[in-house]
Amino acid sequence: MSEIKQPVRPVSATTPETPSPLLTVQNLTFSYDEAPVLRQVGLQVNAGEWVGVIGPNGSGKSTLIKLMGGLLQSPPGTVHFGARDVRLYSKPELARRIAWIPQEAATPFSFTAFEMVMMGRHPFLKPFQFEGPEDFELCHRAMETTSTLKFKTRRFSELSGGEKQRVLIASAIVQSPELLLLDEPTSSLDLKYQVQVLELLDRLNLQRGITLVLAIHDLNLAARYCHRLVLLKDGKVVRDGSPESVLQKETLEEVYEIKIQLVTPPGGGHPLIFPEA
Amino acid sequence: MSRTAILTRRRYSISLASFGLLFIGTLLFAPLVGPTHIDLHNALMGSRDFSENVDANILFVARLPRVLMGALAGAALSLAGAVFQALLRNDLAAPFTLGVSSGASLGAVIAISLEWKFHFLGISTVSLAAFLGALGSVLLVFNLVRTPHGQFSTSTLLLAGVTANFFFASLVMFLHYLSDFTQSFQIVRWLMGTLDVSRYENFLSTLPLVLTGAAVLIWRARDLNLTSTGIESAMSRGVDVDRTQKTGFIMASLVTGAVVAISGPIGFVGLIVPHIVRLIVGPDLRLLLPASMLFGGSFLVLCDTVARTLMAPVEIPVGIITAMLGGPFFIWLLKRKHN
Repeated sequence: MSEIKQPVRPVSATTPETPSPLLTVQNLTFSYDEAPVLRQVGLQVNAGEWVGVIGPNGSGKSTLIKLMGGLLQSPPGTVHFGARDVRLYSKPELARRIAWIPQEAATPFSFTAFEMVMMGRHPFLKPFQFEGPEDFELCHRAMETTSTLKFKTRRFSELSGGEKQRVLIASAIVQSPELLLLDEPTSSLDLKYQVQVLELLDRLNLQRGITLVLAIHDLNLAARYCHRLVLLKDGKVVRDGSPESVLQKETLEEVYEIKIQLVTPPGGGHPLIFPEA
Repeated sequence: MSRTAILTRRRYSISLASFGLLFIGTLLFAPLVGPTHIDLHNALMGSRDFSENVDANILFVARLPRVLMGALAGAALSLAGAVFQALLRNDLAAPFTLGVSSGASLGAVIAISLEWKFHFLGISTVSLAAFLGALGSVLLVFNLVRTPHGQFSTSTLLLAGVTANFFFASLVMFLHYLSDFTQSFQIVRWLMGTLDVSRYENFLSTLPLVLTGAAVLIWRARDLNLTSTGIESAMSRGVDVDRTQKTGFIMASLVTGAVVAISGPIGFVGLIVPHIVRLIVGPDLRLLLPASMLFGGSFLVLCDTVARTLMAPVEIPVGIITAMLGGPFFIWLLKRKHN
């Protein structure tokens, strides 16, 4: 008689009821040279969340976003993606899971919009490997999603700010990331493009379950779109929570050092933030 | 010029085949042209002893090695130009404008004037010194212009290149001043950028260096593509930017040094050729690099054919021809950039 083996259960530190965070930042202090840009920052991002990082200029928003994506070298043990330190991932391995979109992108060369999107497939290809039909298919669909297909043959450098930003989002989509990091994606766009880009991100979050972390300046847009806000000042986390709990009059006045009024719009919803003259 | 949205295998093969045909055509045509008419039939089929066969001597001893060396130098300088342009994200970068050629010249002149004649691993000391000079100058320029975010302006880059050029040129002049009459003549001719000293040995010793550089760079061309669109975006797509920059600068300096050691600093080839080829095939370096090599080889051989025949029997150094074409071209580029 053969012995019936019990199926071995995978040993897991966490139970399904408490989802393990996608990204964990622990006691992160970081400096480019002397003065620290970030001081003892700690936060967790769970899968499916949309987190906005807000704060005055120079508060460390971009630096935090770059450290999360492994674009800057974080001190050991301070930034984990899944259960592993981001430093321990190989570069292509991390790029297949985390995508990062800059505030602005410029190239002096005449790459087309389609070529720029295809660059998102880089971490999936071997050196000198040409893109295959499935790569083309993915790029085509990503450009459909971002409404950029109609100018796929145009030069990237000749597109408008909003068009460029959507092309960059398409190139992040073909990276098929679990986490998408954005460094002030809307700050150089006019109102129409700001809303267009944020609506697009909202759909990616909702329909594809991509976790979003973005640095953003506009507090009203942040309140409207993000599920959670992290407020930074001088490299420290001042508040972390729902937009309602973070965007308090006293907190904002202290962090931004100006007088502020909160006005509830006629239709209801998040109170709007007005600087007092 | 219009092109498709993206590089496909089909377009890749067609483009490379076309540039390859141009290259082979130029190599076959150029040796037949020159101040002396040669009888091709006699040169190839001549029954007489080779030493008495004038046609064969002109073809195989005087012209062919020179054409081969020209093709190799043109290919190498164009390759290096395209790589520098991608790494520095600036289409005005080239071995000549960055001061890399003059760094290589300094290395070579040091080796010539100290009469280092030995070989190291089959590579002549002049080549080795030229490579080190090229690498030294590109690192100098890169460290002068680099910022934490990897952004720098065209004017900063060009100023750094001009400064490096002046600096190395003055050191070359100093060595030149100290050298004796024969060395001095050798240095002057060589500094003008010339292919008339070419022998098969030169070609054969340079070829493996250029092919190695080309293979490594073309193999890593997609990494270079991404780096040319921005350091941080390249990193976020999984490119090891640090390694790409190191490999790129070392390999481009290697091929520049290898040919500058033989032919002198032939200017502007590395600027003009990648530009023209980019207009035709687009900026994807997987195609741009090999296409620039083929076109650059043809271009320099044709320039040298003009140099050999324009004032025959006087032969003008080819560097003068390329500089006369390259100067106005550079000004046109600079002006277009401003508009």
